[in-house]
Amino acid sequence: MNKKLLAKEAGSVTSLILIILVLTIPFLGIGLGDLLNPVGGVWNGMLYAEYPEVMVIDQSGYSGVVYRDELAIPHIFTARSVDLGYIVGYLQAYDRLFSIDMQRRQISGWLSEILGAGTNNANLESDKLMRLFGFRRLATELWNQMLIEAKTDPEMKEIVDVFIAYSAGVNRFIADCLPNKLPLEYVYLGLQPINWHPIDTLTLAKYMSFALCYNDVDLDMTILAEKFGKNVTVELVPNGPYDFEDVVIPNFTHPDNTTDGNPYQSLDLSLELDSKSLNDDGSFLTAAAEQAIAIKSITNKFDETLKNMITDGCSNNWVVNGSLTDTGYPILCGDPHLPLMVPSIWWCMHAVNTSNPEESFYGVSFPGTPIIQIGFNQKVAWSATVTAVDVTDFYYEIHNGTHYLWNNSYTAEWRPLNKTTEIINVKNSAPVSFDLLCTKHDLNEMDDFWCPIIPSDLSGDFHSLTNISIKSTYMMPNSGILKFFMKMPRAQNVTDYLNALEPYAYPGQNFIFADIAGNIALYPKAFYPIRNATGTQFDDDNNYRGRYIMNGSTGKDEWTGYIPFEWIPHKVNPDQMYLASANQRTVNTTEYPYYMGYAFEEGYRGMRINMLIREKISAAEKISVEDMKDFQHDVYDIAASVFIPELLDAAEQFYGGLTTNLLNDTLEELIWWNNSANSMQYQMFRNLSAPTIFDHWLNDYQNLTFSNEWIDNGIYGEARYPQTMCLQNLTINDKSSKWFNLTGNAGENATYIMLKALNETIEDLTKELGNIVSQWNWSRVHIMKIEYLQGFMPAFDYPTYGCDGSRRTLNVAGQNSKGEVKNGPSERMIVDFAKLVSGDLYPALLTIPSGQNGNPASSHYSDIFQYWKNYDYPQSLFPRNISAYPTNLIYSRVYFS
Amino acid sequence: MNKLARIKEWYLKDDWWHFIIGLTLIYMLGLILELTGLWWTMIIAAAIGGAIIKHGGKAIIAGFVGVFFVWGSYFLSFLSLGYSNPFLFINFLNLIGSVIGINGGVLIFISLLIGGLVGVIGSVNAAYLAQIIIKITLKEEIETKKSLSIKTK
Repeated sequence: MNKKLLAKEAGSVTSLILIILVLTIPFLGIGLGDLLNPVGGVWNGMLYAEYPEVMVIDQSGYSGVVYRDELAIPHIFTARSVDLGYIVGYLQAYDRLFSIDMQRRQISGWLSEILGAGTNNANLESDKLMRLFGFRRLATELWNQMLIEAKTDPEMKEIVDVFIAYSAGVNRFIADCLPNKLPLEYVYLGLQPINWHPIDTLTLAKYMSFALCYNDVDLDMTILAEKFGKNVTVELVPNGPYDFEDVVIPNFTHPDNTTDGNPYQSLDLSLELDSKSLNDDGSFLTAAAEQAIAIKSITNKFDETLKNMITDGCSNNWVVNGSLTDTGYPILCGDPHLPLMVPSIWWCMHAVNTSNPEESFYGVSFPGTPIIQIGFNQKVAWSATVTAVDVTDFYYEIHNGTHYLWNNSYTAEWRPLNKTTEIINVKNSAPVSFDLLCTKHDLNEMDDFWCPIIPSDLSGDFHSLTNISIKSTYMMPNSGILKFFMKMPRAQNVTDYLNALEPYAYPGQNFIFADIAGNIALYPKAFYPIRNATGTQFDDDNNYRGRYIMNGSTGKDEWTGYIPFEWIPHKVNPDQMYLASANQRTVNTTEYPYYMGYAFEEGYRGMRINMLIREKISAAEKISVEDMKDFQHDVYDIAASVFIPELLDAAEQFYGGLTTNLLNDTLEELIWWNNSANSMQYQMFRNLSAPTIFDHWLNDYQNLTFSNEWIDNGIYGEARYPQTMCLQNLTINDKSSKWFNLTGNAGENATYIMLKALNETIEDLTKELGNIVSQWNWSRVHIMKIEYLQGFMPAFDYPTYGCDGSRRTLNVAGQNSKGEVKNGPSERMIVDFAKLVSGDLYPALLTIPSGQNGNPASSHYSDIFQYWKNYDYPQSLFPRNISAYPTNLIYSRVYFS
Repeated sequence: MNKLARIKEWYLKDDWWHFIIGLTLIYMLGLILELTGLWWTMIIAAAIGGAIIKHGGKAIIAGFVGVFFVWGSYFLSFLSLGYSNPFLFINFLNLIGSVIGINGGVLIFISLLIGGLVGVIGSVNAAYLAQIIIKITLKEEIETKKSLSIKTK
């Protein structure tokens, strides 16, 4: 045998093994061989980025035609709603499969399964939180109930069929991708997409509802009440509006008190308190506050993990009647403020029912759902903002780990807790089990759902259980939200709108509306709980039940029903000829008998839009679409118009003309900004220094005013400071308020704190931005940061840029502690009814801060964003039927059969 | 001489026809096997070609060139993926460049080199293995002939 040959063979076998090893060992999370392979490798990143001129999806059992326009917005022509569902599923998956798949996994609590427990167990904690709040569990319950209802209710049957068709559409795309045409992210993570199910869509609906229903301000109130007394919390966070505020529904006249909806009518309850339950006295408050602090670490985590996706769920919308516009027809505007990310939280679409020419609608949809949430059709338009009404309560439970004390209408009893165990699979590790204990507060028969007890940490064993359970309307197994969104795109008039609204249960939304007959309306709709088991909505201290942690064992704090539909504050064709909402207080409490809540958003945006429209009315000027664009981009800060004159007065009194150079420069900048002859007065423009000084100063002023009282009482991050409107009220009306006293020395008042804050601001800004005041541009500390899939791959983020606005301006742009703006107008829409009536091809303007396609290589990755960024709008192409679609605007066709 | 023996006789030769047929086989099989999306199937394609070529040096060339062109053909086909956007491939290469800091064109070149290398290890292994097998079977034949000649004596 030739030794030389054997040596050669040995060498080549060794190199074979070596090369196989090198190409298989994971590098960047994936083997080099898999990564660079032309088929199924990194090059898959080019798939689905663009659209072929013609695509045929055959043997699907569904039929329809799709034209994509220049911005890749699909125009879908189908004869049946199930066809539409299937096609939307396929197209959304084509554009956004990875992002909807990841979102589904995240909110279902399945992250650890694919990504492992994560650094500091971040993924595992996220999974536990998702399961604690139970979106998937609730969605499964709802789906099972829908299947039963569908047997008798044709309306529900249609919804179920559409959801099933939508899932089939997504799954068809997934099947077409397998095994080696998967989008790049799957290649990178070595992951396979799992099939879509209608429960996934419902999980998303439950999650979004939760995000818009939930806040934990009741905990803050309980902590503050225990430290300062309940009356002080009412002073700092009042139930009613300030006199300078504009409420969402002004001058609401509710139905006669003698009707069934009388809020003072009570259930016939004869309550017998069990000796074990805590009475509503000081000892209860102390115990509740202690528990509030115990669960704050969890709810704060919640803010970090989840609210990151939904922070400051706030928005604007407004509509003006034809009598105020230059065309004589209404104009409706809406810009929901949600996380700014790429791909966008929204996906644009237009659908035409070829069997019913009256049915054609255009709008934006949350990818993962087959329906549009905001939009317009040939006759009506609608948009939504969060109501921020109190629909979430925390109960203090007396329980022993297996039973909880429950007081029903007549007697107290120990009821068993509902115990379930969630199994969380963890990649490369053993599964983790997470126990959940739930109580039920079903005095009212509609409340037949489980309320989870919140643990004080997420280790998941029983020892860490607290006494606090959470009850929120999003937990109801109610499908009103689906019925609403199925009906609304087909609504023809204001009656249809009101009918669609009636079953809508959660989350609370100010639904603004207009139709071509000239009607305008605003309905803050949800199921709003009434807590009057004792015959009144007030507790023993004469405070609204619902503001603080409530007593779960006495029966006194139970929900007894929901505010009847006609009693919910709303307006149809108001005398003022316009309507507007910006998450501010819904109604004036002195005009309205029901408790609705107290933790609303700051009223500044609401005040500003009212101010802008009233200015037009008083100047007898007609409002045009161009004006509406300006309003949506308005960055006038009302808080600046209040605080800057106060600050300058204080400086004038205190310093006269004797100041240091730096202080002098700063004041001069503010004096220039304060000048009413200046067109930039109080405008939060990116190229000015004054907004930087003002925003920083306001923060310092608020800190200085409240931090000492908070720290003296041992409150560190557990309760937030009162809102800016509270500070405004104190500054204007009570300059010598005790809150302005820092050290106990006489003479410490608002003036003193304002100037002290200014000194701190100048010191901070000098450190951060140098000592030339004119270079303290707002754009340097107020940065628009739009990330690809929450920072999944920073190279794909949009380039950052300094931006206009503040958290108080209509064109909202609140920054986090790093100065990054990650939340804002997630969509801007203006519907011109004159053009709807005339049958114009472009009746509306609509923009989103992204593109339709989530693939960074796509030419549609940021095309619509360019409009958004430059305060511009693409026109919405709205052909009423397929023959009206201009053939030169067809960029891609898809045929389904 | 029967058919099988003729094929065997042809197979045992070492000329440029073997190289051309081997290379063509690598390329054709490679194109088909690449559809599976499994990079190591290139080893199989190259090995089949290499087993026909047998000559170590020629097998190295054929393995490298064959798989290099299989992957190259796929890269070329990406140009048509752009549909309405003819610049998609170039955009994508730039994007890749911005992520890993390597120019996209360089990455393609690296991919092709790696593809070629995979081809080489496949073909050269098969070629040497073929030589060894031939040696072993021929040795038996020689020994048989020897023993036969002893018997006739």
